[in-house]
Amino acid sequence: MGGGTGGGYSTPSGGLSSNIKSLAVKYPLDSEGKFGKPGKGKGTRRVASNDPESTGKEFFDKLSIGSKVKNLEEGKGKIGIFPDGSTVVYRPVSTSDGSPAMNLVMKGSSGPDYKIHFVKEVG
Amino acid sequence: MIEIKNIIGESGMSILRGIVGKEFLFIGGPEVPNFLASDFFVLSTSGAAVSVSASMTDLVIDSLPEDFSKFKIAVSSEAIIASTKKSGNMFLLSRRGPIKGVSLVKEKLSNFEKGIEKWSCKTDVAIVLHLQDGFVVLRLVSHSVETILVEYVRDFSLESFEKPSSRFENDLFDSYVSTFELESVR
Repeated sequence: MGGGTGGGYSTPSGGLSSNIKSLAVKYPLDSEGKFGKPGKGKGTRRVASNDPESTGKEFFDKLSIGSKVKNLEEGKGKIGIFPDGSTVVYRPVSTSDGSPAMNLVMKGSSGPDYKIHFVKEVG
Repeated sequence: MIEIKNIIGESGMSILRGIVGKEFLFIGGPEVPNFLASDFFVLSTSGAAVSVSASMTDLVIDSLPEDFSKFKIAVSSEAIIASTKKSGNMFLLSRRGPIKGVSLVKEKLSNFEKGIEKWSCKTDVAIVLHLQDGFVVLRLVSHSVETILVEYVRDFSLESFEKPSSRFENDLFDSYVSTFELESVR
């Protein structure tokens, strides 16, 4: 079976690269052009906030603008795919540590490919 | 050294072997856009219609959980075929013709720590349909997401194959090397 229904195209944009630039106004990129701080494991980052789930949803909503959005199988989250194959995936519960998480893959030479865990801000 | 296999299982291989010699009719799916990138496709043939999807599979590497994308192959249900036809999302209709063979592109991603191979992961990263005048290629975009890109090409070679991206990047301690093989499902 395929993924669930409920998908559609979000408002057209300049692609994932443009969406990243827009979101970076609120959530700055580091010197590697990535959101958040290095996390555990290869290619993982951490974005801390008071409401990790809400922050994760905000990331997905803004980064998926202009993509074909659909639900993942078994309600595991949402996927947004751009015409060049660039992809953002939001999972409210990641299998690795249970935190909300996002995979961000931008096609093209040296396009980023990493995972963001949205975690609770401490202190 | 840890060796991990993230490959299509025997039932999926049997389904792929079963379409060799059948006629390719179209590729599509209820929610497949015209740019042919999705996590789920229906491959329609004169034999069985085949569902090709990708999902994440959890693996443990160096005591850390890692997820890798993986192809899943199944015989399509009548309901999926009907909803694909109803959606009109059917593509490559003009490429109709006999499927002369099916091959898999296999990637071996190896991790080296201080020059010593610590682990490797073998993944099926593309399915290649050999048609009369070209190839239909279904390939994973990345090891980290479920996206499959489909394209028709006149010529196919491993040299021109676009490898999946990966979140495993070389750094001070680790380096990664990918090698590719093309293997017939026969």
